[in-house]
Amino acid sequence: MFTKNVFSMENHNDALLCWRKTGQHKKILVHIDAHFDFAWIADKDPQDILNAKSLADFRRIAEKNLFWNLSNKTKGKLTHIGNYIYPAIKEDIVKEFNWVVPDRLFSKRRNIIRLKNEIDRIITLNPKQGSPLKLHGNHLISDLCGIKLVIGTLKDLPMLEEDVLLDIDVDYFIDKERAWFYPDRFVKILEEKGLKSDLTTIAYSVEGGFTPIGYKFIGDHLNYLLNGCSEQDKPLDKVVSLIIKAIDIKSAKLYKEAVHFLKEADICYPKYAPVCYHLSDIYYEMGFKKEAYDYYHKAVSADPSYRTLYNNRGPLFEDRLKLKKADAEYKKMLELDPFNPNPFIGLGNIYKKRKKWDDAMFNYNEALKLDPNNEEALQNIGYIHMIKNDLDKGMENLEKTLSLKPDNPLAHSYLGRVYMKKKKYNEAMRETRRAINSGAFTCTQLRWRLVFIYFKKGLYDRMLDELKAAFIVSYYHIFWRVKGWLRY
Amino acid sequence: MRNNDILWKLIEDKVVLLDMDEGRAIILNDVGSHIWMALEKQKTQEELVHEVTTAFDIDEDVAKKDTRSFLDEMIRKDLIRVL
Repeated sequence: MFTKNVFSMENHNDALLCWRKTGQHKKILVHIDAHFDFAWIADKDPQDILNAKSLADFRRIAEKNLFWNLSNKTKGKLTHIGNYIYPAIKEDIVKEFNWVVPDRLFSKRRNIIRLKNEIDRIITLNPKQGSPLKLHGNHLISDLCGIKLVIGTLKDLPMLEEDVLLDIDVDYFIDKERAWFYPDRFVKILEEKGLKSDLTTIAYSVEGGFTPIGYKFIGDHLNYLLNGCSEQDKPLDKVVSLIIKAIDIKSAKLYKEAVHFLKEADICYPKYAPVCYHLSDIYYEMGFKKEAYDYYHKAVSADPSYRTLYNNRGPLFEDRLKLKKADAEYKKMLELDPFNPNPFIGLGNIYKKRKKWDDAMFNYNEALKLDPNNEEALQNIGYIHMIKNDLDKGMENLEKTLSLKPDNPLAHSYLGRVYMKKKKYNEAMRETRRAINSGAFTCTQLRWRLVFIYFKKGLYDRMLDELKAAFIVSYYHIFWRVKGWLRY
Repeated sequence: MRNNDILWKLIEDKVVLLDMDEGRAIILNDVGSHIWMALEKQKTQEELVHEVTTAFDIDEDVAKKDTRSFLDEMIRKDLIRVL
């Protein structure tokens, strides 16, 4: 086996913890993912500025305020699935960054240019630390924080002599909710390239909807192939091929045949959550709800991570504003798992989008009955009270949300709106700023709200600064929306 | 009184403020620094005017005008709060 030390995880940023724990230093990173997972982190502690010895020093340091950490989070908590490679570079864990992208991103010149533009937008936010990508043969290349960044497909991954950090996201294998590539072929290509890895990290990325839960087994299979199999796991190869056959045949609506494959898999490798999950799914479509219910609960008891907001396509449909379909998905989940708060939240969100406030409130309250500290339910109940001008109740729920999660940008933003309605502009300004500092810095609505508050308070210098920010953010929104329309 | 959320420090006899919500650094002038330091305890506007008049040896009307405009600006920016 060409890999040692294989770790699986749900959230990809846990890879950074693995690298730190195992003392990795100056390694070549091979990041196999549909996403870049690099972003600049505003991690400069403003308190450091107060350590300035002279006024000249203070002026010099304070000028570079783009990367001040204005959130309430400590430095360590600023890392997430979208930016964990930045600290790995800063901490000298990574000395070269190879991003292997899915083939479709490099399939046409137009796609390469789109990818280049997208990544350039991230890199050039900090022009002193990163330069725009250049196309060299089949690679996009740049300098990033003083190290080399190479972007390309798997077949063009250069031969690497030394042991690397292999970092894989299961969403690499997914295109339009279907797998385009499977681990056996993938591992063969890596072997042919002579790649050797000291440490391999595999992220499932089901949370957030990047990997459909039906394909979570790809992560298990990768771990099995790269880690060397134990006696107990030996049937996994056969089971995976049976699941793949079942998925293919299910799409042709040949349900009985799909069930046959899955039942065979269930015998080979009993109580394997992916098999139970797919059986539940197919039985539900066939109208056998009792069997669907039983297999869903078998899946969840075998692997509790299958009880998640993302174990159905509701969130995906919700994002695409296909609300009828999302509604059906959440109702299906409630039939299978009536004590799960997540589908209630989903239904609440749908009614909220339809402005059916009472129905939304009912569903959020149902979620709260099951999970009294559910932040999303509390935050949305606060929002609905605010919309209905019941401002004190709105404030109460939003403040409770913030006591559970102080850096929740939506709760800060809603609380800002409550204060606006109460004409308390100092508090509205503070909450709006906190919403922006907690991550909603590209939200046009918040920027324009600040322009209004500064105008009301007569802070014209700040109003002008904010007006600039509001125009820039609005321009980008319109630009990318128009570009999106033109694409289709 | 001062807004307690504001980080500040005295450097070379000038008060420097960090408004964390705004992401801004502010250096107060001599009068502003003096008033900020005087606000360690709650003070009325009259008390502040008196302190400025004494400290800078200026006419009371000028001190009143300067103090008022400084306080107005600081209150609007939520750096100082009125009780």
